[in-house]
Amino acid sequence: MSRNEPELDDILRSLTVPSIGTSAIARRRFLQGSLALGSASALGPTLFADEAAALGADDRILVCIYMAGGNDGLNTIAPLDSGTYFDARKTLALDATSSHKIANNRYLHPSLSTLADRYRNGEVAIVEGVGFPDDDHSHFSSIKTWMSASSQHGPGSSGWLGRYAEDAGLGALGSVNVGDRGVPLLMAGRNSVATGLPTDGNLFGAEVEEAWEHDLVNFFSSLAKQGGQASPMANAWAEQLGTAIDVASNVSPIYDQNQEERGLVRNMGLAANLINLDVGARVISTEFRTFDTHDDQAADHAARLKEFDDAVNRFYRNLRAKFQDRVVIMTYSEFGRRVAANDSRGTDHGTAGPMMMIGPAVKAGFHGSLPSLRNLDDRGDLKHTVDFREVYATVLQQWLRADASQVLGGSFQTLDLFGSPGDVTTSPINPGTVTSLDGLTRAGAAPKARSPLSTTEVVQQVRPKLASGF
Amino acid sequence: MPASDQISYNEAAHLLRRAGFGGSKREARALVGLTRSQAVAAVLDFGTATPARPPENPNLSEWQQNLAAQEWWITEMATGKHPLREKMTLFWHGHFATSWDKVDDQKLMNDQNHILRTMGMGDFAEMCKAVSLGPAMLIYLDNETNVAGAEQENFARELMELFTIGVGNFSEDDVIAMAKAWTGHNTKGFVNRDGRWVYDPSYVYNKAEHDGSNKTLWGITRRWNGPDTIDELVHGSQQGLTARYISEKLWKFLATGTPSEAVLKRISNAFIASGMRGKALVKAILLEDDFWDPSARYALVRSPVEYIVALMKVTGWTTEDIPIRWYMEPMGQLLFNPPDVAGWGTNDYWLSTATAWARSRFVTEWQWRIRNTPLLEGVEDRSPADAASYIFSTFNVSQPSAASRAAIEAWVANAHANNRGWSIQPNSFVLGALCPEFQMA
Repeated sequence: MSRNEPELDDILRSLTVPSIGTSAIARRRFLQGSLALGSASALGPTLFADEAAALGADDRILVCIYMAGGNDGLNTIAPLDSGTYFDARKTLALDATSSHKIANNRYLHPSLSTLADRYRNGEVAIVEGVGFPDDDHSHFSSIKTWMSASSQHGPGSSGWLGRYAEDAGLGALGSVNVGDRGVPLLMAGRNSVATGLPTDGNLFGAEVEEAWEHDLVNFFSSLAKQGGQASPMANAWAEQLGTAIDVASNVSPIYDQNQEERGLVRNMGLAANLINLDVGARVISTEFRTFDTHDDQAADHAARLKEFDDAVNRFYRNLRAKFQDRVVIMTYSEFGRRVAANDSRGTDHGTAGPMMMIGPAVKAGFHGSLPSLRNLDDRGDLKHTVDFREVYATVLQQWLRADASQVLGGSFQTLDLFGSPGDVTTSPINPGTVTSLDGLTRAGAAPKARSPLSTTEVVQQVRPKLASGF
Repeated sequence: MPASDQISYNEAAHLLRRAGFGGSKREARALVGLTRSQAVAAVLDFGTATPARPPENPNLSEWQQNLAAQEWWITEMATGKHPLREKMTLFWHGHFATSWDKVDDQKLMNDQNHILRTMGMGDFAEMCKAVSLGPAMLIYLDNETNVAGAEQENFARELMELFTIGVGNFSEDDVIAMAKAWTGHNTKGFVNRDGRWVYDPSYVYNKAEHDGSNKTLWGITRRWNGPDTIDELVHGSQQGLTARYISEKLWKFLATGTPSEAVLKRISNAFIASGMRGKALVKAILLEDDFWDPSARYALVRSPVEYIVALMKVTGWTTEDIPIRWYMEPMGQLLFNPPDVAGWGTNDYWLSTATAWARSRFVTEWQWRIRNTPLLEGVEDRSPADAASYIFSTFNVSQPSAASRAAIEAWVANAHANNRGWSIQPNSFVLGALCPEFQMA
């Protein structure tokens, strides 16, 4: 047999939280010991009704899209006026005429046509060069780093949005993952986990039509309210099923539209529908795959970015006008790809990449700076210019109005990514922040691209499991 | 022998839920009247036959082999003669959590599974060594690439943090020294066979890659080398910590909640006195008064595997009847695929809306299958009180709460009042399978 790198799907599955979709509040109260035998009668569905609070005047919503597998940032927002880029990417280089020029030496991939329009409308902020020190190029440890944003590892580790949701006291529908694979580490708090909404609906307690179905569901709802079970833990189970039924009946309308859609388009449609319900959703995460484009990248990458473009469109088509400037979509990925294309018309694991922030409330334009394509690290990778935690700190402080240092366990510089909600910025493009890439242009005398394979990389190909860990 | 030491039916049912996956009425009755120690000896008697191994079929793909092993194991839990052995194998699988996701070779996972099944009740140090030097673990925690001069700390850290003494009981310097001690204990890796490079996962001690220098662990300086660190952890200076750590973890898995200090002392001392043998620890736990206390009954949430196995026992469904494997991932527990090196948690770890939906979905999607089968047959012809007893009895719930009983009686009466007798049998199945009592061990 030959050994390969573990399948990305498998890695991601192993990073999901097994206790998928805990109702945060039920878990928290339980841990506080307030579920003593017989005392559960006050909890259950009535508790949920309290949680389903409409969006307050100062509340903002964050929707996180994880581009799983390591998105090729250089072919998402490409520096097509750079000769170095063409030397490195060879046949994988994008074509400038079909790409969307949005700034000096910055072209969006041809698939991102409506995103280009959004950019020109002042609704897209791009943070370039985001990464972290000593990235070991492993999907496994890199995504764990991105999701946890914490140096703590091992049992009980948590995700930065999970910690935020806990600190903010978000309820069962405050923090939600849309997807069928469990809740990612991103959304796991110290003692609670986001609700995990499956994409196909079919939730027990929803779409109850016949009288006998009502009676069956009501049986469990009433058990949840009564308490008096055989043990405190049995009461907690009864309450959990009651909460699930209650959440199901509350969220079931989100499944009514766009049923034929699949993948990220469907997930983002569901996310918008959930926000429209106005039941307190504040942090929503979802993911799509795979960006792990080691070979024959061009078609796959184009398809993924088209799916992304369609999904953002679906989201805003579904989202009610009154929420439009209260929501920001943020993308992230575990790493970018290596600057040089490989011999299989693909790209290998790299380091830094861009993050996109989308929504009328962002300060559109470029932030951070694109790392030099010539001054690479010893593996031939970009040197990051922005620490990912600086972006998180900015989102936490400026958008979610949270104490970033409490969530991140340290202080980080912030960027200037947001205006006020409702303050739609229309001419924000700031050419001053666009790196000129050493002044190289396609016509210029581009230096020879560095050898695509460093010694380290050769070792990695022989023993591909070098880079991994927990 | 005092009569009070003879166990009752309810106590027998409790023992079978904890020392297995729930027993039938016949199995429970067979234990009634025995003393606690006789009953515990009975569930701990695994006979002398060599346990079976997961089947291997080289014609199947890796993925199919993984599914086949999952199904084989879950069937062994549901129908095998020694449910406690399978439950302990499940415990050790979560303890030495290793995932096929990363190992990517079910044969290696099956080898590890066999170690856990055959060595789990013996000397913990021997099992720990066998697992540590097994290719599945060498690959999973990267010791396959741990060589002198380029140490890989992943396994070294987890050996102490998760497998033996627990977090807070070692220093970062210990991790560095431990990593050095385990250098050279690798897999053969890529070897050239007839001009082709193939990966050979078998264990090899690469002496040239081992750091043979003096290293200091827990203040003891010597030429530590791999397995002898396990002897020190389990039988040497760190024994007390290891005994407490394993004892508390197994108590939470088999008994309930956090053990009192007195209980923890007793069971870990029994573990030590036996020479750190798993069987002695299990026995000590099952003989504690706190284990038998009425408040301990129905106090542990069944993990998804325990829940599905209990349902298989009630219904007689097999993995061929029902595609059970597709329901395990949404429920959150895939055998051979623990979420990370820390394995699965216990009890409230399994409380969540999504797992509640996943269990509900399984039950409601298959509830119609019981029509025209003997399961709950004729329940619609019984009085509400009799129907409730029938449902609890079918699910081997010997002590339902008054609340659940009253709710079922009211539900049956209502179904009759609305002329929905046809719905009572299939829906009784849902009530029984999702009622809080059946979710609990």
